[in-house]
Amino acid sequence: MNVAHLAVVALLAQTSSAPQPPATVIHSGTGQPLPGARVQLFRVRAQGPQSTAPPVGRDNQPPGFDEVPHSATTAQDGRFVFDQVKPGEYRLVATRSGGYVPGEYGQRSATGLGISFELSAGQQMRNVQLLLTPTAAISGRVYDREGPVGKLQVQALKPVYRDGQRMLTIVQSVQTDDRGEYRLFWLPPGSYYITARPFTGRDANQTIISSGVHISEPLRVGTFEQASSPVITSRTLSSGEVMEETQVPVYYPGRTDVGAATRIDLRSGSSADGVDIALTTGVVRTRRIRGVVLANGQPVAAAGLTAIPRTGDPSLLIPSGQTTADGSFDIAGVVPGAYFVFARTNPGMTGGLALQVGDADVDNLVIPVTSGARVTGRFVIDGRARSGGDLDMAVLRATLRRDPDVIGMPQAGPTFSPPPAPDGSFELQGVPPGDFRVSVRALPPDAYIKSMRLGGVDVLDGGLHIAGAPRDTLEIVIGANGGGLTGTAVNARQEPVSNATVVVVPGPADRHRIDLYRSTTTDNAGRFHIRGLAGGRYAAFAWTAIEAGAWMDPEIVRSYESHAKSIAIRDGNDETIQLTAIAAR
Amino acid sequence: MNHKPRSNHKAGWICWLDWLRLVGVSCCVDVLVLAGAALLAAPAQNAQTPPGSSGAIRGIVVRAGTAEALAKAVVDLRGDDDRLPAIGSTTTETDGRFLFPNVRPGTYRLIVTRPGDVSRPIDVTVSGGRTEDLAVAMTATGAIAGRVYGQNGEPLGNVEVSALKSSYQNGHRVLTAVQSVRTNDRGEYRLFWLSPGRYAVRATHPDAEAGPMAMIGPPRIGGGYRFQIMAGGGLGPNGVFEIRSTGDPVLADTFGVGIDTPAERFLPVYFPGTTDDQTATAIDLRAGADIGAIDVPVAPVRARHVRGVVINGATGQVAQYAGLSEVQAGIPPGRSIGGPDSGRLSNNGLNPIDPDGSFDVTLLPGRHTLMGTAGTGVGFVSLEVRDADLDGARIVAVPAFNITGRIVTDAPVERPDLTNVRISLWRDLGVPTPSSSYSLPRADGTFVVSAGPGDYQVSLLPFLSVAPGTSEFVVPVPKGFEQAYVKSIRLGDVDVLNARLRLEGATASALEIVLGMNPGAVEGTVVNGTQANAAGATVALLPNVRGRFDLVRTATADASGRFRMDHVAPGQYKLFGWNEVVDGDWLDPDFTGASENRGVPIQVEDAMTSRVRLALAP
Repeated sequence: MNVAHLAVVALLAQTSSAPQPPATVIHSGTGQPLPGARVQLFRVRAQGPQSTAPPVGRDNQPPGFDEVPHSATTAQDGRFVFDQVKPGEYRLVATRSGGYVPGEYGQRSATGLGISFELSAGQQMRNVQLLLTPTAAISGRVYDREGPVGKLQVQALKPVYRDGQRMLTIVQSVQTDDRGEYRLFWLPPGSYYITARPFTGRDANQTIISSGVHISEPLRVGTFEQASSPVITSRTLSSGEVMEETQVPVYYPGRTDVGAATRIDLRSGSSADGVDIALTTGVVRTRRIRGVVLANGQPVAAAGLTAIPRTGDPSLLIPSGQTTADGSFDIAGVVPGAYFVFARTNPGMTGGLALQVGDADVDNLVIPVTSGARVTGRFVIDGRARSGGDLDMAVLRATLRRDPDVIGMPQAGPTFSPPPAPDGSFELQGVPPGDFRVSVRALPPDAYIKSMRLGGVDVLDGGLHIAGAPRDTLEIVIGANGGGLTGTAVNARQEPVSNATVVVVPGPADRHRIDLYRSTTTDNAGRFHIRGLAGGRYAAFAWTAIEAGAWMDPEIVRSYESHAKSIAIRDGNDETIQLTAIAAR
Repeated sequence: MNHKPRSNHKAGWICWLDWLRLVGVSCCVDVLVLAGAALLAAPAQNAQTPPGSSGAIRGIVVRAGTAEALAKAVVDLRGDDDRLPAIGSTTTETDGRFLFPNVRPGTYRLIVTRPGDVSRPIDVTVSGGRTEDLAVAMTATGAIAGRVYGQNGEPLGNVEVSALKSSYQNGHRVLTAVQSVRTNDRGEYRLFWLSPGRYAVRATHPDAEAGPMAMIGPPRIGGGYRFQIMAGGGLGPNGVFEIRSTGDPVLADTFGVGIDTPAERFLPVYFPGTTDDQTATAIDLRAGADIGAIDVPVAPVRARHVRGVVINGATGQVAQYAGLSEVQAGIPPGRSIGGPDSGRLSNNGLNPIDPDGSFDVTLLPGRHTLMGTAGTGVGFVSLEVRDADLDGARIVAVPAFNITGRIVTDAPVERPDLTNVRISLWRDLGVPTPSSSYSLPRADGTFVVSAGPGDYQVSLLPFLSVAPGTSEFVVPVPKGFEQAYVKSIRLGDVDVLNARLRLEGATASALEIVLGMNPGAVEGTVVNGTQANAAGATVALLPNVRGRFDLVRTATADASGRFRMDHVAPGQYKLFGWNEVVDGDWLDPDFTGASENRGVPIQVEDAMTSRVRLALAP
């Protein structure tokens, strides 16, 4: 971590007669002031309770959502001023086009998030320094046995945690030119893997659908994943047999196994050149999946089919096809492996099944499509809210998400349930067969999901499996008055630590329950408040810096177990603890 | 060349190998091409094969003008219908060879593509169990490279740079983007694998791409908020492209936030540095060329105020509650296609027009046509915004008046029914603007059209199109009028077919449209300077009234150099021919101007076929 990032200082002067605040934006490497940076001041809360960060995982629209942020451009000396600022809670962000990672008030590293702060009436905030970190670049050449390879998609991938799994995600995509050369740029400092792959930006009608290039101004967290069609090359052998092949992604320096890929550590302002990728491996013979799509036993014409690989690749190759008049389909370009095959008709019928493709074509697959099942459910409120009133059930919505939720999969039926009836009952229409994770939107801050059952099945524990219309009702019990945890994070010298990450991790038996994890960050005074916790035992941690989501990795949690504070949470009670922040390793 | 011996020889392979031996020993291009041509014309290899049995298509892909065999060429075999998927597809290896065995008799189209080379589609007929041998010559593509920089010479990254193919439609240069790339952090770009031709280069700053961002708001805090970034793509039956965000999008969307109407905006800039596509420099890219230093400066432009009044033409007074909009190319005046710049005028968020008829709008530099309305009246003003505000613009909105007319034929037609013919007047506003309405004639051929003062072109579908080649409503040809053409249109004594129709106010004169029933034809032969026939040459017949794009005819000379053009309206023409020409170049006044004296004058008469022998310049 760059120590310079800790140099963010805010002095709060209580008198309105103080001189104009010399707030500045500076270059993180040289310490020189940066002119021409855009600084924005966003109000995130009108004037709420003291810096309580909203619990993670809840939809919490900031109250000032429709407010226009204050905006300024730094002068030659890097200074900026905002006046006529209404009291409230704010976040302060600086950006500069063309090669700087955004800087935010309170951030602990170039790519870390900052924190919000309070501004009261008449207050002047001075001596704020926002650090902008120069980005880095990676360049090289992609070649095969015959020489440079043009129009390949080259991607910079970054490891992240998602639902406790470590996986790669795409930061930027560019194309090689006719000389095989590429240049990835505006990359925040960090660790990257580089991959090259053929990319078809055209569909079968030769319409350009995309160039496969995705470049954005450097973002600290905005990464993405992609699904595209495989590029199939075919060779007609002298026997008349047609052999179809595809080039699977190759990772720098020239491996198809991501585990064998070489990591590139980029420092701010650096350029890693000569990152050449040898495309001399990874040509795989592809297979076909053939079959028929049936609705009520009748063949369906013009149904769309996609074969979605069951892998953690952030840039999936999805073979696709369409049924002909007799309902039959023939999907080309399938690399051996595990797939979900989905069929979709217009309008709205879906079907799918899981299958394994080996070293042969798959024939005679029958995919039935339906308009989905009707799932009935009921919200049950347990207990009374802390305010003493009843929880407003009408705002609650059950939502379904596929599990696993792989890009390219058809929607999991309705995005969310319609408003429940006064008795809490609701229904979801058109839920396709599959595995789902159920969550509840618009839960009040102190509420939590106490249980979720479908007949005898614990849905919170094992997920929702839909094969046809279930006979039982999905019963979701909402605990209106969950437990809370307040406290302070301190360093070894017992001084409060701001912008520390505070996490509560469920007990060892419940570590697979991602709904039970909660995280927040400490405010300027090192305080935190987590609400809406289900009763039970938890381990609480505070880190000065940790990669987002890493705490869902059991290995990581085990390695820090000795720093944990064990807490017992009960409905309606706030526990108070002091956590010693674990310093960045 | 590397010819690997094959172990699975079949009878047909013997001849194949013989041929390859012939090609293999020759490093002379002519021999190769002639060898291919000779085999193409060769009789069936097996005279006993019944005509209905399957044949084969095989060949070799070489670089044009050389004997160099090309690997990685994708050879697609397609049927008559280009929209259907390929019947077969194969990729060449280092020997450049390809083979489609067991091809059923029929006509096919062979489309060969390769990274870095282009070729024309080849039509091939398979019959009687014959094996068709082809030599496919591919032409090397070219590249255009350069740098995009800002006001202070600083490199601009992530700027979209497009190569636009230049063509002419109805007298206007039309630029069509064929490739787009993005500059890197050093401002560098490289457009590559471009077919030889003439290109304009355009740089589009990200801020100019899709108008101002609509997203307003503070950063989204915390997780639980998934959003789709970079909308676009989809999951279709013919291909998949989808992208979605991972990770928490915290602060990901702060860029571009804000509703302050910026005083400065970015417009697409064409090389060498103009925002006007008509003055963009065309870059002549030859086969294999690598053109560098096509640098484009990109700076924001400042919107300027244009102030004026809308006058009610009926009263001569400043109009109350007038309307104001901007006319956009290709859209009927007063209509909008939606989108951020769709003719909606703004004045920094204020209402652009006061109830008293005065207006104040902000417009970016360039040519604009404003339309004012007052009551039932409509008026226009065309102006060019440069680097200063414009004051005193006047739009006189005049109600439309009726013009009567009739359609007659120059020869009797049995039970003529022209009641589905569409007559409309296209206003000439400097940009092509379709008419928003049309009239239908009565059973006796008379009609009434409505228009205000201005210059017009008459459209009479399906016989006369003002903008041939553009998407227009398809009107079926009335029975008995299959050969009809528009012979003349007159308003009183004035020819308004070959010149604009100028209306200054209501007129007692009637529009008379004469349909000719017996068009002429042109046929002939094309020879090269050496007197050899010019098979495959392109021939274009251009009217002496060059603005009549509806009269332009083109043809391709057949294997014996012959061509024919039917359904030609009588009149004065010039005939041009080329062995190699970029499609549509003959509509470029600069192009034909340079070779005007090579055109052969032709008089086309009613019901006559004019014959001509056209010698191409060496």
